[in-house]
Amino acid sequence: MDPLHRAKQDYNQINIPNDLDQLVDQSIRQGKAFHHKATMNKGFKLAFTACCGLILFYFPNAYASVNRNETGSGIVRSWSLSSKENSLSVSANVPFILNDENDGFSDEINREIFEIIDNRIQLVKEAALESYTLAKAKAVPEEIEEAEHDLYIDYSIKYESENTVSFVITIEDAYLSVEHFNYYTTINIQDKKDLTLMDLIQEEQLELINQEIKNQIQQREKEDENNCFFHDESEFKSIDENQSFYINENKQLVIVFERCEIAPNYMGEVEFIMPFEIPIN
Amino acid sequence: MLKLFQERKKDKLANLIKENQVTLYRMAYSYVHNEEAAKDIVQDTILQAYKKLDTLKEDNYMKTWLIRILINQSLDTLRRQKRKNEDTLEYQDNLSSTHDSSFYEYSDLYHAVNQLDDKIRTVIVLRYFEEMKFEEIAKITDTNINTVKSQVYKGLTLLKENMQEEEKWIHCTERNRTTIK
Repeated sequence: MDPLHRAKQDYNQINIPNDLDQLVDQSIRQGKAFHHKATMNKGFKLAFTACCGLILFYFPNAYASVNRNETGSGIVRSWSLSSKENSLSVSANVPFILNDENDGFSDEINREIFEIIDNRIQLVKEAALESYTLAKAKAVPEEIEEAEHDLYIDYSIKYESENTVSFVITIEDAYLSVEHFNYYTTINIQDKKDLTLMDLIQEEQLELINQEIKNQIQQREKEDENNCFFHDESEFKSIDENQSFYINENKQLVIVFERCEIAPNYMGEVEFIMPFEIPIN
Repeated sequence: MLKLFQERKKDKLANLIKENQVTLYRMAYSYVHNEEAAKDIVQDTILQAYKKLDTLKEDNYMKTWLIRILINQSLDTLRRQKRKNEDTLEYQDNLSSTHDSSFYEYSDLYHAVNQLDDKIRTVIVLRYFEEMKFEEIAKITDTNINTVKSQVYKGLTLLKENMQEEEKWIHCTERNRTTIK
């Protein structure tokens, strides 16, 4: 027998794990969600053409029958919502920007927030329906129970002053394992502006930040062998104008990278605190 | 319209991944020789592929593009393993051993392929185990066809030397394929 043919047979004997199918399906779902998030982020800074009406207007009718409790203080308030539909449970604490002056700005931000959340709900709803239908077809009670998706939506304020607020919206889809998505927003209230990273830093600071991130990567890898970052074509090179970030309570800039962006999946989302205060106001 | 186009592209990628999931796993395993590490590579590859999907200009090259991501992920995992120098003995044992859960006896040549350096091993695996054309391998490895041919030839020569076998096997192999010219 051709020796390479025999070696090919050996290669084909590599055992395929039983859970490969499930792992691949789950990764595809996760990947689709990541792609969706990236697309949403790109559109996040786009101005909307028309001024919008009431906050609830943006919520789809399917969720109109939920509990609505307004909570919070300051400019960021929230609605508490919950719903249960077939195999999808949604428990949400949805932030919105208070609209005292009835201007278009807060409507614009709120609409963006609700679009992000509603899009996520729709995606999970489709996935939940698919897994539920499949499980039901098999008629195994345990599988029907496992097919349930629990979607948790919440937010936390990272920094708040008279003029600026920086917060993160967290979306968790619990199904077999938990998928986690964070959306960061920083707003200048006085100027009525949804801030990008480039609004906060000078052009010449860009390289300083890049170097700081590279140093911190090196240091983290040195400190703990379990800290790993990509060193191939996905290796960190530079931040860009669409970079996720927030401001922490010490008025420091925190640069955030999504899962798998510059480090393997198991490292999760990675953050780099810039060791300097930024002139926010 | 753009949204619809993006959705179709995402679905196309999903179908391609499902059709090739065994290939992806086997290729990853051929680098790391560990089930969990290979599964991590497959998972990271899929996530990376979706993240970079907008950078793929031509759908016709989706498969070669996907495998290229997998190879990069695999090589990066190997680099990290080597750099961490973690479980060095286990890592080397894995390279020269067979599978973790079977008693299948592997041929000497299969072991010899695993001992080749990463670049050469990649082209040998793609050419002879995954039976890809030189053109496809060139796209995956981002080189030209002639470079791939010379790497394959170099690999075969090294294997021959490693195996210390009769010359006939290499001629036999390539005569059957009539590929390297």
